[in-house]
Amino acid sequence: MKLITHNILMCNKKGCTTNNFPLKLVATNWKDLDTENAQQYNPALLQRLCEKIEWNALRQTVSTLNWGVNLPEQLSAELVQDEAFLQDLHLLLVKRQIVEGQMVCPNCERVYEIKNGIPNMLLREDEV
Amino acid sequence: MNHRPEQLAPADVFYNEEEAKKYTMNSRMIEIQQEITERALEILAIPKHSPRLLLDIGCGSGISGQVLSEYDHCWVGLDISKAMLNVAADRDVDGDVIHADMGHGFGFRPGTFDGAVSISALQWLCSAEMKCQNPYKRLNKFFSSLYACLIKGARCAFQFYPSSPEQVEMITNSAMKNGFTGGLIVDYPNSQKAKKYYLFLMAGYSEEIMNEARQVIMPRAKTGDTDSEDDSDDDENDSDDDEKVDIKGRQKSKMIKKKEKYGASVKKFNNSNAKSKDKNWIMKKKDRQRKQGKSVCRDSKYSGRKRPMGFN
Ligand SMILES: C[S@@+](CC[C@H](N)C(=O)[O-])C[C@H]1O[C@@H](n2cnc3c(N)ncnc32)[C@H](O)[C@@H]1O
Ligand SMILES: [Zn+2]
Repeated sequence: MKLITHNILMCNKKGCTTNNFPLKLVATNWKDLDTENAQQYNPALLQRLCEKIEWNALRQTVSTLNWGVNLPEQLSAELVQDEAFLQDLHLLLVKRQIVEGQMVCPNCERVYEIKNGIPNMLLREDEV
Repeated sequence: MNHRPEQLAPADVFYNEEEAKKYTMNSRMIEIQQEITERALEILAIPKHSPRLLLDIGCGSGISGQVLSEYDHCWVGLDISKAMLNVAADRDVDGDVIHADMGHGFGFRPGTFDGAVSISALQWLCSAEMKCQNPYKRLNKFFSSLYACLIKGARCAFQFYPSSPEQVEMITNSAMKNGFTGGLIVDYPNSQKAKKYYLFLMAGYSEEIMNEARQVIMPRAKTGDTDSEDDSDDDENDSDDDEKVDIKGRQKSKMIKKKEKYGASVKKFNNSNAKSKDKNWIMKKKDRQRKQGKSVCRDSKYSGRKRPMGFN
């Protein structure tokens, strides 16, 4: 799972409708895809994704991961045109994969496990 | 007489490791799924060189998603079968895959996705996974949460295999009830084998998306049987012609492909359950990208080899 996906996932448990984003992310194992295996760097795509990202949630999440990544406070219009910035974002959002870990809902504390890179968001019938 | 898998067992049971393997070994099956996905993309009518964030519902082993990647889109897929998703993960598909049941609705932030596709999966929603489930409720949950996670005016193309006219009605009713507009596109209606149903949906109206789509093409059903180039229709056009998705051109190349296939050689490009994208797969992908006029790294004896991990 990549951070872009984490940035759009909310808790979907029945009745959990407020304060259910962003899920608290614990990454116990992660890797960077090599260039051959990752989607190509594409500034137009990253700019599109920038329109969608909840920047504060991304910053907050990255700061808890201890990856030594420091994101700027604001996502400004100039930054989105900046090649170096987009390259970094490509590394962070497209190449880096969380392989094992979990996500915890800040509201109801439901735990969603991540295994083999796949987040398990499947609810039990009584949670729907 | 025809065995509809969705009537035999729940999807997460039916799509076990055995079945998932078929989606990596059977090159004919892979090719069909790819062609359907290309058609679905045509229906989404996204302008060239405009990568988007798309949702792939019932993404399975990522065959449909790989086509989305080849068109430079970013995608998130979800599927109820862990076995299918494991295949996707092992092949390092570019999109992210999530284990979830579309009948439960989605936990995505509202107004996120630019569009959605679903290839050969929607019919599963019409039969209950478990006794306690009600297909009508599941369809409603699906369409209402789908509507919520799309941007306004987003387009969806869902290819599916309805078992009856009632089922089509059940699905379209639920979509309309939850705010979608659109309709059914039936490709090759006169051919038993090639006939395909696409549910085309729009999540509300957006001037911008509508204009974009108009510039690309308006969706309509394909009519001719595969070997007639009948409708030489109103290509009213001049200058920006090659910015359009050229259905006829693509049709032709598919036709040739088909002839080649049924002639002598059945190309096997994938016979591995290897842990990473295998060489054949990468070559094939490069081939497809070249056909789309993209610049692609030169093939070398290193293509497809596993490299040491990048920086930390
Ligand atoms: C015929 S496969 C197609 C897979 C992929 N779209 C492709 O083109 O290769 C249908 C997929 O739908 C998935 N599916 C069925 N019911 C589902 C549900 N309720 N939620 C999510 N996925 C489901 C199955 O697990 C299976 O992977
Ligand atoms: Zn919650």
